[in-house]
Amino acid sequence: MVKCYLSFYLGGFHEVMYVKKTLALIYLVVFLLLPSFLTGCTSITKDQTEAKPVSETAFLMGTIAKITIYDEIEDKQIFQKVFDRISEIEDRMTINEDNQKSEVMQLNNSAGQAYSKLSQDTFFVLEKGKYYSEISKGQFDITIGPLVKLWNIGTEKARVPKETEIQNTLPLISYENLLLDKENLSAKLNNSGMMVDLGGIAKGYAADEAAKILIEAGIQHAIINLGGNILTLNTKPDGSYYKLGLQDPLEPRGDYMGIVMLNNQALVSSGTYERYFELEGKRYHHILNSKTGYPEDNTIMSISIITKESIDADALSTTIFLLGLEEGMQMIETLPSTEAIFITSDKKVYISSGINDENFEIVKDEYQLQKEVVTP
Amino acid sequence: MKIKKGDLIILILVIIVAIGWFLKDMMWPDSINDKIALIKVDSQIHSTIPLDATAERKELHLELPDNNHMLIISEKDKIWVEESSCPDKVCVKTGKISNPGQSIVCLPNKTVVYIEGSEKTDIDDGAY
Repeated sequence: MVKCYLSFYLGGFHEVMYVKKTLALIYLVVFLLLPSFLTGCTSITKDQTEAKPVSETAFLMGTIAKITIYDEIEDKQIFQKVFDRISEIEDRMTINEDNQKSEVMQLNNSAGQAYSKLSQDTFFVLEKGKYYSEISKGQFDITIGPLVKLWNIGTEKARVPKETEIQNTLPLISYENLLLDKENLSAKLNNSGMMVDLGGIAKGYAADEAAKILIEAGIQHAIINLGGNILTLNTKPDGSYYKLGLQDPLEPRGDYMGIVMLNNQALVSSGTYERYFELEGKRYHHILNSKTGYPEDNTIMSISIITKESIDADALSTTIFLLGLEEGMQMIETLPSTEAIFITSDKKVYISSGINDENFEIVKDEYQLQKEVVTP
Repeated sequence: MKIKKGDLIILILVIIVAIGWFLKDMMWPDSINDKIALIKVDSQIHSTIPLDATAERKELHLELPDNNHMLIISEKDKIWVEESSCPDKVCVKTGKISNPGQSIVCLPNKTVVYIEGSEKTDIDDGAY
């Protein structure tokens, strides 16, 4: 639009130089037409912008699933196909009491007794969960189920458990006692009372699977948003990167403090602002420390992870949050194609080595980018 | 080829008008008054409420399945959930929203309040 004004102005200048007597008349005409010229310019610019992407939403996996497709859609059923696939994964992995189809509930109910047969989906997610439990030495623990059930944060039954309840629950959390049998696609929890909770990883997997459905349908440009977990397909049709708002942890949802640029990448944020309850002035958030049994109490307010596959970003967002700023940053730097943005409670922003001006921008002045992670 | 005084005055006038127009566009974009709050229940659009500085206070009572209900209020350019039968009250705690792209979500009631506007947003979607 600026270009438009500029060329008009230059045009006027030329006329001053070369036309003499008819000048006044020309200017008069130009004057009168000026508004319509300018409006004309704007409407042309608007017409030239690309067709609007199409979005559909559904309530799945305890959150909102939103699929945005930038390509022309040939298969009208595509959104429903994606939602059906996510729903299938939810059915297999949920630990909500009202779903008897859940393989994870079956696994939990046979804890200490027998192996349970699993689908490829569930087995893969359990394997990934165990892997992240191992590399974080149990900071992230896929068998945290009993502790999650004890606190019930995010449900109406949320409460602060008694100290003895927590102490009795902690020994049940041990990923080493999740036994995986790849050949027979089955798994077993070794001790009774143990429970697997895939809440920190299943959404990531579902997004990856949703992407597969889109790709099979010939879609090349899309955003999958599963309750704030983002997965992008390639770039936008014009080749520019997707711009994703990064949630301001102190403001209502949708209010962003920065913009992250993505190209065929996943972005998952985790933080103290997501799910919590308050009691006697103290906030209890949902990211539980499997060693202490309480919500993790460190300086991180939010953590965002960028990876190739959504399942990794999902698992890592919890893992790195629990590891804390320094240890978490160290781990990020050892992982390939993995980046992180930390926001601490003093509104400082720490970034891993692959984050720069090109792919991240802070839009709120109160948040300050730190050059280095201060190590003691 | 001398530029005469009259030409100069006209030239300056043209420039002033052009700059003025440009500034007007920057300060009062023509999209200013088309903010709309979309209220969706279970992914279906239930109602739309225009939001602007002159809009009167509106109360929207939602009767939802299983005897659930919500009270959504809009006043001027803001909208918020005043009351909800849901157990967690996340929607009420979200507070007032007024910018395009912001939303209030009530998962138990499967209800979303979302502000749309043709005002250009900087982002394609949001992570949270």
